[in-house]
Amino acid sequence: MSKSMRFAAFCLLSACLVLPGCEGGRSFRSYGVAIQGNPARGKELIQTYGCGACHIIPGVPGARGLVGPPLNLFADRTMVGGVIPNTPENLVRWVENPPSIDPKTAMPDLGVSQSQAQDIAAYLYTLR
Amino acid sequence: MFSRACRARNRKKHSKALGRVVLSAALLGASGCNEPQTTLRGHGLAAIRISHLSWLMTILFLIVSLIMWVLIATAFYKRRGTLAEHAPIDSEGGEIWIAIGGLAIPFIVLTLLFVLGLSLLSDFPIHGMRGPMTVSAAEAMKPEIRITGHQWWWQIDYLNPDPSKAFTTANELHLPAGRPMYIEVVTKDVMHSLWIPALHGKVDMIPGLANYILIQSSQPGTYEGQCAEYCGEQHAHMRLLAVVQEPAEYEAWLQKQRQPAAEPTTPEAIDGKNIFLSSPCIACHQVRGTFAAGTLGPDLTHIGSRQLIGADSFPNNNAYLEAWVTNAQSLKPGCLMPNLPQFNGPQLLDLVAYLRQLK
Repeated sequence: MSKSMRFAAFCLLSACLVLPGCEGGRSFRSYGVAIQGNPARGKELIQTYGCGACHIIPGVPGARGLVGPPLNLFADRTMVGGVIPNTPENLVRWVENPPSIDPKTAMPDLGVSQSQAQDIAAYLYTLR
Repeated sequence: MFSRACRARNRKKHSKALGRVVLSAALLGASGCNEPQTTLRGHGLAAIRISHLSWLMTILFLIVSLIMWVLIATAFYKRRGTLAEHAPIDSEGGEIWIAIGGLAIPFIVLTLLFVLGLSLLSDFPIHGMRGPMTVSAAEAMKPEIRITGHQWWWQIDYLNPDPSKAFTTANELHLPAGRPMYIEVVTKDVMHSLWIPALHGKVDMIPGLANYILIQSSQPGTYEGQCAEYCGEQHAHMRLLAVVQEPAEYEAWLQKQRQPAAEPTTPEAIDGKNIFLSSPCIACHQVRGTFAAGTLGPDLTHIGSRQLIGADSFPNNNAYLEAWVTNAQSLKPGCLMPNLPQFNGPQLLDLVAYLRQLK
């Protein structure tokens, strides 16, 4: 390899090492759930189930509800429902059946299946 | 500017532009044919006649416009001299154009449309009743349905001399296919207007006056309607669903709606009923079979059977129903249902469970 090519390879390699550290380590969440869930389908499911009746959700037409908290920057939140940590597994469980996690919640069990909850979670993790 | 080469270029540009205009007009027209509130294709007897008249008018006016465009184009391309030369105006032989094109043809077209419109109105009249003498005439027509406009929802009373067969519902009108139905149309507050475009022409709801309209739908289907007279903040969300059914289905629906409210069976729904009956809900809403007898808001006896809520504005699912109960103002700002923030989470879920099973 020539000198300039070696230098370019060195820069590329160090970029690969350094860049994942950017975004404060948040990027792992969207990768983890995006592998299992489809954000585009999640957006459609959000509209079908009517989540926007209670939540303000960026990017979803008509989602202007004021019953529950707005879901902006959901990828950066640390808590789900104010009771459990914001991890992909917890979010999927919450979306599937909120009263099973918090008996006092007003968020209903809408009969969301696990794969549908994964799609919805994948969409929510695009909100950053 | 008006050299032959320039004119040739302009001709090409103009025909391209004309082609685009025609294409977009055709696409617009075509897309209008299948929308749920289209007037271009009727499904009720009145709407079919109206759509025929609309099409006739549109085609006549298009022909007239086409002739005018051709004349203007001819005048443009046959001009003599440049603008600077001020070519003399040809003032001979123009009177015949004015007599035919400016008087005779408009007179014929407009008279034709006037006569057709009058005949349509006389075949599908809207009777306005005022005063004691006309009450007997109204009763002779035996209206089967009374639709009362409120801000911003529709109260639908199915009338029957037998009180056990009469009932009230809201926002979802069911009609039998093929049978003419007389409908009395009134309002409790301001002017509204009933309009289900696929079935009939608009009929105003005027305070202090009852209007009567005959609606006959030709085939089963679900059609959407809208209030057609500005009536306040949520006029745009005062929508109506008209469900035209086969006569047997219609009778079955009538029977179901005549029943009092379903008794809850699950623990959540039972709790929900208790919460409902001890809350301000009963001040405004009626649920037949319970002591909730409010008349300010829609009758909720069979709310679980309706396809939409909020006067046909939102899907009737758990999410929207719960949001409506606790924060109606966020869904329909200004509507007369107040926010009810006094329920906690489990109470809301129970209430929704109760309302959903009121089928």
